[in-house]
Amino acid sequence: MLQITADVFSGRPNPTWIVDDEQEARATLKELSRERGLMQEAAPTNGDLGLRGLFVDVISDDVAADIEVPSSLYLPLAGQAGRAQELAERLIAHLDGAKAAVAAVDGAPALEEGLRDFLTQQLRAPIASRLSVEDAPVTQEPAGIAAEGVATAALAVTCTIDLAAYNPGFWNNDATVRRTNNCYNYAANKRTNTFAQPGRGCGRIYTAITCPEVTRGALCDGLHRRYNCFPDSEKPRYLVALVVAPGPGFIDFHWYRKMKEGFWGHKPGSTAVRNVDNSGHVITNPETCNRGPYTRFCGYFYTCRSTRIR
Amino acid sequence: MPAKVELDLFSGRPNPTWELTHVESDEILRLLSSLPETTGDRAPEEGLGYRGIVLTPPPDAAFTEVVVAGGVALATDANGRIHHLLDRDRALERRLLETGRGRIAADIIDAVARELA
Repeated sequence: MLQITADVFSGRPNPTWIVDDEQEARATLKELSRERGLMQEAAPTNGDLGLRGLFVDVISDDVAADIEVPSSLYLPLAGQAGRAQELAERLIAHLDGAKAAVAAVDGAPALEEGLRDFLTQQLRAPIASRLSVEDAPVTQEPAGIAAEGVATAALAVTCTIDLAAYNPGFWNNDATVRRTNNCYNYAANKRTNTFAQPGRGCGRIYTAITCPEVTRGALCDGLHRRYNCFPDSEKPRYLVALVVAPGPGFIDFHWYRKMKEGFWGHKPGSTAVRNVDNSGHVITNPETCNRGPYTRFCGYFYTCRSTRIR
Repeated sequence: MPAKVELDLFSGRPNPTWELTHVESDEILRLLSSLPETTGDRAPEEGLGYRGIVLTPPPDAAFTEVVVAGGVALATDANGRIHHLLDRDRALERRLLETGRGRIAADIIDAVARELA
């Protein structure tokens, strides 16, 4: 038997269905084994909304006896098309089988009847939760940033960046996820559960909490300064902002990420993701919002697919 | 197992934490048990900057976690019920903060103490 789980929700449990027709299960596994390049062994760690992928778990030992596949696979779908989408359609089609079942979801509206249509719709618009936009210089950098020596790249170019839909539930609903991911995880949209630190991903963590040093660590992890564009192959490319609390006593760094809705989201330490500042106002500009002790604005950066944080 | 204290203030860096001695732990739990229940639906502080002090008492204590901030202690019992206790003059919060002296950087303690002044 195979168990298929749609990685689609962030607040409620994901829907799961079983393929218990042995021939169907084996045929599906063989097809997946021929497309190993499209599969991963674990789910991605970003918080995109929509159908992110499909888990396929082999839950009986006879089905895969002579087929070379791990017992657990993940078919990522965000930004994918072509063969990955065809495979996904086949896996979703198993929902129509007489023996297919959808796991009960306590207290949530039933999705069984419309689930296939819902997932198919999500599949055909897999990145609807993300928006690509042009990021062009519109104003001069505020005075003082250049003095920090970490100003945005002095390139008069327009970059295409990506803005994700605000999805705080991905970070807030699970207490462990909330506690073990910080502002840097949220800015990079990578849930590592390591309370990520700039520079640790590349093995050269910051040596002081200053704009230049935290910037150095972040660039080492693979971020770019704003207007130093990433190619389309590096999607999703998020616009983020770095600030520092210079002390005395209170010395720390903090990150914000621009969201599809136009505001900025952030995650203060192990607390919940939010889109408001210390005055309770929705953040439309991280340079001017109330940042409490994080008074030093270091600059804007891009994160991307290959950014490695830890 | 001794009680653990976490100063909840940072965003990027991990928060400073330390463990209490048994003597300190007993003193803090006595202080805690003397606080009167109060009404209200106050939630833990959020946002940037100092948010409060999180006490994780020993396993045999009445509460599993206590968040102390702004004159209120939000104490979670074993059933998950949150008790709102009045921390008059922030006495418990100040005492908890002082137990960090010598265990974490003095300038952090001083910065938070200024906020509590």
